[in-house]
Amino acid sequence: MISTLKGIWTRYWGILILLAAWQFFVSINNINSIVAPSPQAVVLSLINNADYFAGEALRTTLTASGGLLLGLLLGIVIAALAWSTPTLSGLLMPMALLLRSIPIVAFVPIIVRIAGYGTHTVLIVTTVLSFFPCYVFALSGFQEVAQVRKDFCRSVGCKTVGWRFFRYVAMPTAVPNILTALRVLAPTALLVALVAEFLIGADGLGYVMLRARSDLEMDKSWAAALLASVLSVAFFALFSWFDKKYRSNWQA
Amino acid sequence: MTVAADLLKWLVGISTLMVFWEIAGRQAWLGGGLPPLSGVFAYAIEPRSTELLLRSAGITATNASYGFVIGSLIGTLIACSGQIWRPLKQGLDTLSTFVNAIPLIALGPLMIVTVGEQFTPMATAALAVFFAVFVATLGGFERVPNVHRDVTRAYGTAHWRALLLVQFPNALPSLIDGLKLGVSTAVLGAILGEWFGAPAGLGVLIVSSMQNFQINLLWSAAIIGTVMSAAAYFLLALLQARLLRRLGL
Amino acid sequence: MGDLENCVMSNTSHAQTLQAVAGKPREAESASITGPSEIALTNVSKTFALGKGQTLDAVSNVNLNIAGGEFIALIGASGCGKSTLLRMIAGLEDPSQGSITIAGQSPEDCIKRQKLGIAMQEHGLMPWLSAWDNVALPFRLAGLPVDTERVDELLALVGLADFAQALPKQLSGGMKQRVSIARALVLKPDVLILDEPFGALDAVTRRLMNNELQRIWSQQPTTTILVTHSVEEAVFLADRICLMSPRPGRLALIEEVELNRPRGLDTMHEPEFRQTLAKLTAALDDVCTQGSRQ
Ligand SMILES: Nc1ncnc2c1ncn2[C@@H]1O[C@H](COP(=O)(O)OP(=O)(O)O)[C@@H](O)[C@H]1O
Ligand SMILES: [Mg+2]
Repeated sequence: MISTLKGIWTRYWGILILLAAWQFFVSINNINSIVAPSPQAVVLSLINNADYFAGEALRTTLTASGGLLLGLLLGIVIAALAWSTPTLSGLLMPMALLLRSIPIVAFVPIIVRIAGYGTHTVLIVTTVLSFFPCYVFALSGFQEVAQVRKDFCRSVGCKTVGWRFFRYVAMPTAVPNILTALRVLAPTALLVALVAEFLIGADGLGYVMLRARSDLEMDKSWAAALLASVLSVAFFALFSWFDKKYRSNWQA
Repeated sequence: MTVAADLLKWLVGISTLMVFWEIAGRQAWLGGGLPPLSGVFAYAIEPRSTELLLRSAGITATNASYGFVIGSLIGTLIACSGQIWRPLKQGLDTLSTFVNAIPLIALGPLMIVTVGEQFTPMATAALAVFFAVFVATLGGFERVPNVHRDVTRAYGTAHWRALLLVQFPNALPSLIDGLKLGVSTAVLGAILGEWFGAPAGLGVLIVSSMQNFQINLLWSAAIIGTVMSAAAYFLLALLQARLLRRLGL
Repeated sequence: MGDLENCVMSNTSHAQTLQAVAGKPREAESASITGPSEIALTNVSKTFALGKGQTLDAVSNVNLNIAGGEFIALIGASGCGKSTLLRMIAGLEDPSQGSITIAGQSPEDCIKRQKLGIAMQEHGLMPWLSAWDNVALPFRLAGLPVDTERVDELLALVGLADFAQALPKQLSGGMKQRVSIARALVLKPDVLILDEPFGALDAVTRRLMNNELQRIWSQQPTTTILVTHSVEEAVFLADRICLMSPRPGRLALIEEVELNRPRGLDTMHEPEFRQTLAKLTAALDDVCTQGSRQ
């Protein structure tokens, strides 16, 4: 009993202290709940509106996962094309590198202007966000086939450029890279979906935050933020677990 | 030879993108949302808009730089403190992961309460940078060869001295990687922070031009933000190459 | 320890299974029109450009005729061009000068007709595939229907029938090499090319593997070229041993091995074996010290 408590303390003392500081800050300054709600108020709001929050959280999660998946598919397909045609990869690489340093939030308003206000725009934003990292990771994965394996393939009469080589060797070789891309991107996709919802006013946790704030329901707004943070951590944990579980199968 | 080939690839790649953009803009493939590149350019070099853009970019750059410095200092210090006093490490890890997961837009309102509208962009930028640097530094510490640890232990070196002489130099390449990542994150954080009622900056410009259908201004601001973050990234990459060569890594 | 046990166990336990399969490949081979191919190397040289006008003569003027079904071992100091020569025979690299023919045709043709099997020091198995699927992979890569019986048969031949579904990471170093050799043999190649396949194994496992390879080879008459660092391995396995001298890599000595077949682990205790071994070791030392004096 005491040892489990101690374990929790060594692992989570940071978060516990953060919570305590929050509570302390709110009660000592006697702050108006419109400015900063207390932890209890936030948790209560979460519990009282559980259905509502669950629905909105599900919506955001689905949009984020959908965008992530679309970006992943697109990234893999274009990477495969680039792999088979070196000229194309030469043309795309500088762009991919340049676009990697794009501050994505600066482009959310532009995508909104082009695609309009709605959930589909949130989907497009997360797709665009996910595309380039997936492309870069997948392409370098395809190109990572070890020399011994290439030699072996050539020795049985399989060229190292064609479809068969891609299907049986290059594609599976890239799987760990793709898992890494997913792990890194998953929490970001969720947060960017949130930003987009917030800016567009599309349904989801981002919009809950926005509207609750303009209705001066700060406990609700903070509850949405807390929920989003927990979801993001969960996304990260899920994909890390996935990554860990399958990566070992790629070590000979 | 290969440098020339790389440069050529870049030139061809970028010009293809620009030509494609121009055509797409002229034909209005994406409606009014994507104006021709030449139009954006013509708009941006008008004296009045140039002045506005540069002033905003300057403010965002200042915000991002302060945020970058503060965030990387805090990130490095926290990662180091976990090395000096081991029991801290696990709790710091979870705390940082969680802090990173809190959406910046959720923190915006909190920042306004605590640091004020003026300093919110700096704070969000610092937060965004903090995590990138923290994670990279931790990763660097994990890569310290066991032999090195054993040596310091065998000599009974004090924790902080071992940190300074052995662990930190070993973690440096990884730390610099983190800084490189962090520099574009800083721009992103600053722009986002400016959305919450900051008086001026690229973020303000971007949101107001979105709402007022000033499409050329919107594109100019977004491009300047990109160029800024790309330039900072390459500057750091250059510095990294120099430094690593000096250190013989 | 587990590794050793496995080797010994499989040696005894699949002796019976071997007996059962033994007849089959022979029949198949005699039925097919192409037999083990003879290989002719004429004036083969390879020069690498090192950049800035510098070049390296990795292989120089090699002439060698290998009879169909012969087992050739290639020994020499590290870096003397053995792998380069082997890669040229396998059609993975073009000679700078001279020509190589396998059964009268170019190595590329040989590759196209799937008449070549290779296994290297790095096993190069696909880590995401089970042992069975790794052995079946050549069929898939060559665009042929997978002959499941043949795959089963080869896994049994290398003593890994019980490990068909294991991933490479679940196999020991010796087992991985055996899978790699099974994979090289699965398309019934006329030429088998082995580049230090047991180089990464410990001495005991290596001996057992040599014994296995000897047995497998005598089951299937395949022209085999083996590169090895171990003179003992070369003497034990080969009909002829070629000794390469370094920079430029040329054939310094070709030695016939007059040991009766079938050879077993006890062959290594015979006086002829020790004599040949001593003679070649001396020659190798000689060539190497000459090389270092240059
Ligand atoms: N692709 C290459 N480019 C340049 N030099 C090479 C290349 N491959 C091998 N060499 C050089 O050729 C020589 C012979 O190499 P190798 O055939 O691998 O030797 P071995 O297998 O006998 O150890 C070495 O000096 C090696 O550095
Ligand atoms: Mg070699």
